[in-house]
Amino acid sequence: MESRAPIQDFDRIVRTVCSPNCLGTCGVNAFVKDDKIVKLEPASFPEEGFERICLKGIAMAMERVHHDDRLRYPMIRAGERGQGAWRRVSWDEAYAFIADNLRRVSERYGTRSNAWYNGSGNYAWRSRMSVKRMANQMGGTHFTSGGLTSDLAGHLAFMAAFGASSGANDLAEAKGMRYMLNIGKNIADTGHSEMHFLFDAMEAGCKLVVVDPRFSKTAAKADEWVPVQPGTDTVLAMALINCVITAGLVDVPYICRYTNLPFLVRCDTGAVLRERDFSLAGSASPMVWDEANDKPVPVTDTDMPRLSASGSYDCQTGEAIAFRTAYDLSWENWQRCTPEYAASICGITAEQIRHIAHEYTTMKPASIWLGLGPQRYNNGHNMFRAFITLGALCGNIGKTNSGVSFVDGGVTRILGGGANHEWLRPGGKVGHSLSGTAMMDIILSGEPYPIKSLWITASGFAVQTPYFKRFRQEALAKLDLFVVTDNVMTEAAEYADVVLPCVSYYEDDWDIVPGGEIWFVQIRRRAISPVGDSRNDYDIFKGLCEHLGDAEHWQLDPKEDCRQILARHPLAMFREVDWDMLARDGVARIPIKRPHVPFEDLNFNTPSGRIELYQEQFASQGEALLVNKEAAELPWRGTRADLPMRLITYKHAHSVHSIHTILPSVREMLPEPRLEISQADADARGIADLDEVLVYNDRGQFRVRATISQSVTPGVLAMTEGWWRRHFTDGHPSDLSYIPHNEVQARIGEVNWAAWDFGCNVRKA
Amino acid sequence: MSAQMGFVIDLKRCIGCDTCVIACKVEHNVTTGRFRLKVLDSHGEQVFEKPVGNFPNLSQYWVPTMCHHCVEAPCASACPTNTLWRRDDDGIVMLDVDKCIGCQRCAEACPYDAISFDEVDGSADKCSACAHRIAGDGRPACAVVCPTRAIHFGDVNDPESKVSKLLASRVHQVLAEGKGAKPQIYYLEP
Repeated sequence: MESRAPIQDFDRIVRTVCSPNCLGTCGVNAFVKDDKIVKLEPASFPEEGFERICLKGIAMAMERVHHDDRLRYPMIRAGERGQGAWRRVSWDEAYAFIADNLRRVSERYGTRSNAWYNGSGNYAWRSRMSVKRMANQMGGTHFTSGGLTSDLAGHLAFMAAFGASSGANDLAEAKGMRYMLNIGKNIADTGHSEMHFLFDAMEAGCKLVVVDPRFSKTAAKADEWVPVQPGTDTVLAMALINCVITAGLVDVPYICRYTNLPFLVRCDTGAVLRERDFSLAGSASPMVWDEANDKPVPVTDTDMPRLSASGSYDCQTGEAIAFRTAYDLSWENWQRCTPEYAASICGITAEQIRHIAHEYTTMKPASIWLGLGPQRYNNGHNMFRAFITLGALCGNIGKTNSGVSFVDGGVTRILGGGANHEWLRPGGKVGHSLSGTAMMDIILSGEPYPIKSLWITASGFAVQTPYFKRFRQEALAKLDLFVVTDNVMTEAAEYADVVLPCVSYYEDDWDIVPGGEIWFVQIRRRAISPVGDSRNDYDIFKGLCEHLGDAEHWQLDPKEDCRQILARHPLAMFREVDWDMLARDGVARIPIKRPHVPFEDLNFNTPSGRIELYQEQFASQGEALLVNKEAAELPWRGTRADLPMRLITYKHAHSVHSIHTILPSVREMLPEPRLEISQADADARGIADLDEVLVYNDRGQFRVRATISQSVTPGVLAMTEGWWRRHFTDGHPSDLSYIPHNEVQARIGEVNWAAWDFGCNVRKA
Repeated sequence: MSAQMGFVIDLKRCIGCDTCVIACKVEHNVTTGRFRLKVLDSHGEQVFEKPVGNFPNLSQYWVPTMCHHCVEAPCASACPTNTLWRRDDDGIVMLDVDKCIGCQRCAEACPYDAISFDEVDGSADKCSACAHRIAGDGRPACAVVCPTRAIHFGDVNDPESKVSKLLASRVHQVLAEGKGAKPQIYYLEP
């Protein structure tokens, strides 16, 4: 019998880091007794206010580390794939099996036919990046994860507009903020370690307005909730733009100086006019209409370009070419998107839209915070682009307590391209990279080249991607080898040829965890011994390299490796971290100016050096101007009258994706998935509260208990995400989704999985 | 005046994340299915929360609730064995598990459903305000872990304490005031 006495007896306290894909990156004190964690508490930070912990992190330390499904030894399947028969093997035997298969694939198809993919289950640097490092070492293929996490469209819009993939104003020092226009960023549920900063700002007088189709925890805390229809945020933003321009509340000098809207654009092709278009000896400098001289000049020659201008010039063939400013062309689009028009699409009133526009422009400083949910529709980049445009028109980019923000912090600086390329390339070796969102098509078609082995780590591949049904039924047969590394037997691992046991956060020693949304770096230290024969990702790959007799570049001591990763990093903010403090205390500041204000110097790493609100490069896709390109499956347009419903599988406080839904303590708080449905939709289908229902479309279905709720509008279904297949008696929500192609996204980076862009219907089971 | 420890819980800040619930369970080895601390939604439900009102005029708040450490503790009056008693020096209502005979009269008397019955050892169980932690920084586990800084604990008789200052500056109430138990969890209005 467990003692009823409180936990006061422990051997030691170890400061380490919890780091799943919630971006909380909580520094935690693990209380250890007899090599088991008996308690977890928030650890201190160099600055007060950053102490953080949550239900999930505590449950993981207490229950996932020694879970019944915990992988303890390498295993090779002893029957058919998916049959559930396994043979426990030594690491040597597992490596021999894997190495034979990798060699065979390399000899027959080339080294690039061996592929690796890592999910977001661990934000520690060496663990996460060692997957790509291994692919590079072997000359193999690394499948990118940005698009497949359904988070990339927003990053792509930031890249196109600002030349940088990330940027968030400092929520930790936001007491001067007067207004937050929050677009589906459910901080209270999904970023609750930062929520107290927002409460501080609200207590100091900030008004919080939340735009969300669902009454989220953040909406419950808001001064105003704006329940738009799912996937209509771009229209809302364009109507807000319409309002602020009509009311004369835009910052014209700012637009002229810091955006490319004054550029002169050919009316026929959408190309930006350059000096060389006017004179053969001219430069590539974009042309603007100079106010003082009342004529077109290179943008470099004037401080006073006109925002509105039109004219024509004779091109070399003698033809007269008409041009206008990008602003004038844009206004034609925005003009059509009246508050009344947007209201009819978004499901709110025109008065509400005018009122938001008025407050956003008069309650200064005002900020816009963008969530990732609204970009989970096809063309989701346009939603981010639209709000970036609104912020820029009002002169709010680069200002304290203002700006247009989404996630930021050290983690995003790695993911956003600041990664240490030297570290990723052992001995200078470089492999190949393919888009993760194209993975299934590539495996099935063999184009651009065959993929014959796949090794995935730290991924809820079976339930957090739209792939698994196709993967199991079609793609798996194309693979000679399928390896899964994880710390529990996931539903993808059940189909593997080899499963390899990975340590949990608490069993690993010396890894770097950059802050998710905070400007600190932390060090993971070992709290308890590795469970069974488990190893960390780096050591798993190192062991394989040793087996292959090619481990020369995998010999660094982990602590020294951490030091060198920072010391040799291309970004100064990492090089300048105080290593001695970090090694001693387990946490140190990322030395950047605080409060952090993205683009404070108003220098933008774009071709024009300005915020690029006009996108010449996307003229052939019809997106030179900001447009409202609708989602792929739009029920309210009647494109799929048989599939009139939208399903939002929302992130919530009780699990980070599929990591925590298997833990008993979490299930006490969140016993099962429940489908939230409006009274009207339930009545129309004869569904009563707590009835079993089937949600379905052409691609798949799942069975779940329904609950009638006021938190969603008719036409919208909502459900917590992160459930495993075993939690449904039939099917899985991810089977309903798919990956529509998007040419603009493919051109900037890769296609984002538009996770919520599908129609569906529901009926009583 | 002697000290009176009490909780001040800011319902504007509570987001119903249940971090306090699990921290409490871990701190006190509370078995599955029982709780010393629960977080209830606006309907008084612990799981499957739903907002109050009709779309789009909705509201939702969350109420962490545990032993209210009443000054006139009905559980102590009902207890036939002095298992439950109010500590003079700080007002915390204590439970001496060794004296408990498992009659559960305390649970019936409690206006706040704060006392659970441990089937394994046949005794009552409830929040102790983490009395064992007072030697440390004095904060109970729930207050230590609260991500939004909603839970405060301190001497409500000391006008200089953080809890007294919060009570002086914000509208607040106790639950079931009419029962006359003088509970010591003060809720700042949502």
